[in-house]
Amino acid sequence: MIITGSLFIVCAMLLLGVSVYVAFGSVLIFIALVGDQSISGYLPTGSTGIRSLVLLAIPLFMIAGGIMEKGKIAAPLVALAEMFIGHIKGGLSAAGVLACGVFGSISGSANATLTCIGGIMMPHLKKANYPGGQSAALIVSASPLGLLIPPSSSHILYGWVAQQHVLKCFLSTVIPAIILITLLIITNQFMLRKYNNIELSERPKPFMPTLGRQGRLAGPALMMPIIILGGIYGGIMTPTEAAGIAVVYAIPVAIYFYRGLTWKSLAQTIQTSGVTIGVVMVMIFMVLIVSDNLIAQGAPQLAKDMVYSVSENPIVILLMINVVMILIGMLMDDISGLLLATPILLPIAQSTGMDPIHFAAVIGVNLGMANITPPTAPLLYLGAQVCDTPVSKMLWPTLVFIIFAWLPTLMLTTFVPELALWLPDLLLGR
Amino acid sequence: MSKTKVDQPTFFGYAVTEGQKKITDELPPIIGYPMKLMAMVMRMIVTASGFIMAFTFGAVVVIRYGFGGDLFAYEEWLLAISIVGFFAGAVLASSRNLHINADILGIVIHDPRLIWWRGFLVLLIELVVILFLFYACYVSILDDFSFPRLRSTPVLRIPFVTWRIAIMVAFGFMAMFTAAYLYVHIRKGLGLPLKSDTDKGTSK
Repeated sequence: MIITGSLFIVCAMLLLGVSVYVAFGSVLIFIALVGDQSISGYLPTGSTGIRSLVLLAIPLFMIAGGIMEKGKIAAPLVALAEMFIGHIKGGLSAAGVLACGVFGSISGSANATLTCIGGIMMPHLKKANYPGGQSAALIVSASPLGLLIPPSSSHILYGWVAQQHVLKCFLSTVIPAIILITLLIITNQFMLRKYNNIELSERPKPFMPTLGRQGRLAGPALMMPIIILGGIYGGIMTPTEAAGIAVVYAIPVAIYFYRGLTWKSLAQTIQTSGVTIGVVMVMIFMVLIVSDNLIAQGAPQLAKDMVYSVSENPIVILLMINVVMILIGMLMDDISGLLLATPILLPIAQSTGMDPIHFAAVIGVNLGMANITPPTAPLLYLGAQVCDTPVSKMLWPTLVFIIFAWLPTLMLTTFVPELALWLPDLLLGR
Repeated sequence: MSKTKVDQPTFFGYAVTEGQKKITDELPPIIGYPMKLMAMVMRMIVTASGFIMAFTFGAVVVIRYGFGGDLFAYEEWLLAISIVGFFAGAVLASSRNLHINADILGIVIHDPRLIWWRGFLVLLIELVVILFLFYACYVSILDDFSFPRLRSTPVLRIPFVTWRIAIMVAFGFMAMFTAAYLYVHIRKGLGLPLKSDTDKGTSK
């Protein structure tokens, strides 16, 4: 009764348009009225939950992402990618996808990736006569790469909730991300075949000196993932310390090297990131309390019984898990979706023999895809604003990218466990 | 703050216009001014906690590898400061109506009357729920104080209630800002002039 009622209330509130954290708060009112638990337990549960050093990596990566976004760190990365493939038809949009991947590995955030790369790439793409709706849809579809390429905030959270090795979770989505990049580029190339008036940029001559100049310019930005990932995987720093170092490194680079920020605008940038952090952390706080209450009511077992009542075939069960996660992701953001889905769906996935690290990859790809899937699709609407393109023009190409790039990636990640497990096993052992 | 579209306050069912006033400017000065001050304090807390978080972890790594030492029990005070910073950020998000929601009905509904009623319902529910959360925090803190000794961190003995009180206060502030949005929404629905409308008329 409590579980069904809670799910109904969350869905109704989210459909009505109530803020996500308030939707979860309304469930707490329902539990307080119907259940037998005291409301005095809510605050300790939530505050103990967010009082975690591991979780501190999320706000720190958000601040680093904010500094890089405002600090004009992305522009030389885009220029470098453009140098290599800008002279091929579709090369400029492919450069955008690659830039999303590289910037994603720096910022760990889909929003920051979309804002930065979309803002820089779209004027170039439009100037070269690339179709506006399709190009914007491509950048939007590539922006969740920030969630898949390490370091990723959602994987830090997953590792924390599921008690798994965070570094293994990071590595689990690297190969799916490479597959996604490839499929996005191929699909885009195929869709571009009917456009014959695209202007191609000339390959810079002489190439090597220009590459050297551009490389020096992009160097400090490219050093960022090396410092972060090298520090983490070299065993020098924890992910949280690496996130702190990322901020400390990004500040002088953005202020003195790229001159995109001043000390005054840095304070404003931290403040803006602080608001986003507040939004995310209050959601985490609420979801932790709700999820704790639902677990106490036996939600994981109920969900498992429901799934097994439909079928005991592992393939069908995994497909059902995917559908549920896509629906969850369509209704809420990736962080709260992950916090709600993990404790309930992970035991079901494990019962089919799925490794928790494999599940990290599946949940990462699922939530990334849900972020761009209409009708809610927060990244789609942000993309329309950033790329100055109407949503109506982006809808169809986005659906094509979902069907031909995201869905195959999701299916491969779900049903070929080696894609998620090979790299973590290779680098960190079983 | 920069005047980008994202930073400006939004009102349910009304497009954000250039140069739109902050929500606190639309309130009577006796309420609006203290709330403006409150938002300013929150901005300072958010900025300071962001800097402290980043530089502390930077210092941890430098002290460890540069001096072979350790920053003693830093996690205890840092986590307390961080939680206060998180919730100050949440208050600022409330003051700018920036909390995430799934705007599915917004795509479907086009009738201005329905849009207004939906906005009214959403803001009312938000206010009631946040007030409930505030009350739940209050009950919990009373519970904390009922123990003979306050529970605290193991090394520096920072009482848990410090950040728990901050969370309660934050919910209180969030309720105030939500109530302010509700007030403005009702005034708009009733066709009563807002401060921004009066200013526009004066400038014209």
